Amino acid sequence: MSQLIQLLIYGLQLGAVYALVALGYTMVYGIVRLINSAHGDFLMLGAYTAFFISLLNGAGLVACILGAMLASGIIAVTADLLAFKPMRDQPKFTALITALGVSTFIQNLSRALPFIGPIPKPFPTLLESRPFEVAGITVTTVQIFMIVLATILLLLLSYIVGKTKIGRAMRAVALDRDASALMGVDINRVITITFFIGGCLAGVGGVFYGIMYPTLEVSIGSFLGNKAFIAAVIGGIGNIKGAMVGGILMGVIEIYATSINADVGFGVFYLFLIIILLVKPAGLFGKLTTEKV
Amino acid sequence: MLEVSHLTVQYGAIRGVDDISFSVKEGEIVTLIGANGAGKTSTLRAISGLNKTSPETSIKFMGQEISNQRAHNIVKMGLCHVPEGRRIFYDMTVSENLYMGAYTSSNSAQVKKNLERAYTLFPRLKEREHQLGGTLSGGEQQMLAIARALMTGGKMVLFDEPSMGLAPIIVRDIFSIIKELREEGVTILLVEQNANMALTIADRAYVMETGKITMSGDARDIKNDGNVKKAYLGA
Repeated sequence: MSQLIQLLIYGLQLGAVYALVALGYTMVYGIVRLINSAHGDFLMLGAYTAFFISLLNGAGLVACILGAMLASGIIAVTADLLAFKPMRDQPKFTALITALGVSTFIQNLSRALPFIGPIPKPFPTLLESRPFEVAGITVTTVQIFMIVLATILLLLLSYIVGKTKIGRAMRAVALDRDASALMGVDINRVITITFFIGGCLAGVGGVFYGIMYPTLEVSIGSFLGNKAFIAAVIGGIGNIKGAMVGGILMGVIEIYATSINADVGFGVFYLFLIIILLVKPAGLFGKLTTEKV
Repeated sequence: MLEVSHLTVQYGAIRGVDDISFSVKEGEIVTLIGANGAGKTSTLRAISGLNKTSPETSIKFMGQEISNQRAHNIVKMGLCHVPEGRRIFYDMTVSENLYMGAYTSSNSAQVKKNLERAYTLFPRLKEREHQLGGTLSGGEQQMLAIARALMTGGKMVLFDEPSMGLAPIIVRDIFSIIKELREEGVTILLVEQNANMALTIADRAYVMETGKITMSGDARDIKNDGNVKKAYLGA
């Protein structure tokens, strides 16, 4: 029993990362119907930003996280303005390929940049991991920090989307773009803000990734991004609550699965995806919509 | 109040609206009638900035050129639009829908006043305040769409087929609301397929056919015109 709870803590820690990244996929999909394959690469650049900030004297964990958030947010907005926005009224397929292109571009450009390069970099210890025991279960300071910060961010996002004026505008644009414009909503501004928020969350995800697996390379984004995207689909793509639940669920499932056999982790992701899509094609929280043509 | 000249809307090679000119004076109800596909909805969407217009188009609202403005700026100037098919936000509550109408307003006292006005005009919406928009009946959704547009504080309202798909008794309610708005001093441009109803409450009318205005004049004269009777009034 205590073994199960112990694993649950690991699962929540990993799930927190997936949830943060899955939110970016789901928010962008919700508002512009784009599967943003480059989202994971925003995360990677955020992780590298944190790495470079950590090299500065006196820069600590907080500075690294804030820097990563800002960098990933700005990169997400830039990618939208330069690459996705011109494709907004084109068929979805064009936008999807554009996103794949942006992803490839970011990864290869990063590989070519002298200060990032193809050689993996060791991520610094930003937070000392001190273990302590609660009722027979070992918890580390890092785990507590990650789970608490992720929870705060998820609650904050729920509040913004659910209760604030800009959040209401984001939901409105996702539901009906023309009708939102007729309410005086500047659609482009709302889309930019959505990309920025999604990017910020990916930045935090990047730092978390570095803390958990302290080796940075340019492909970490697409690796983690794939899993987070699946989590978003399982929760119901476009649905914010779905991304949170899907991310945490998949983190927990992955940890339980790898505890049985270390090789099955990624396979279980797809197995679970297939089951969900068979039973509930729109995901756990998604609603099936018929597309108007 | 609204001065449209040489309005042209091009869809690829097709001219949806072909060089039309018309005007709406302050305090008037003007109706634009015509068959399906005549270009009525395209006209309204062009005025609101949702449709691109051709370069020779000029649309002046209260003396200001708005044909190059983006939709959200036009709303801010006081021109609001109740779109065809109502287009309320289905997954948002009635009150959230109404607050969306107040998006551009930063004056919370004014927003509250507009909200009270909306609930006085449509008591049914007050009862359903916390219900999701998508769960309302068709008539209630139309009321919500109208109330939401009024929340913008607009001085002029474009109505696109407010009677579409509604029971006759509800249609009468909606039209009496439109008349009530005029009493309040709101200027109205009404697009309708229900030509009979529209011509009854309007001051002036324009008849559209395949992208062009083919007739215009006093609503009563148009209503009694033999050709219009035959084509649109089923007489």
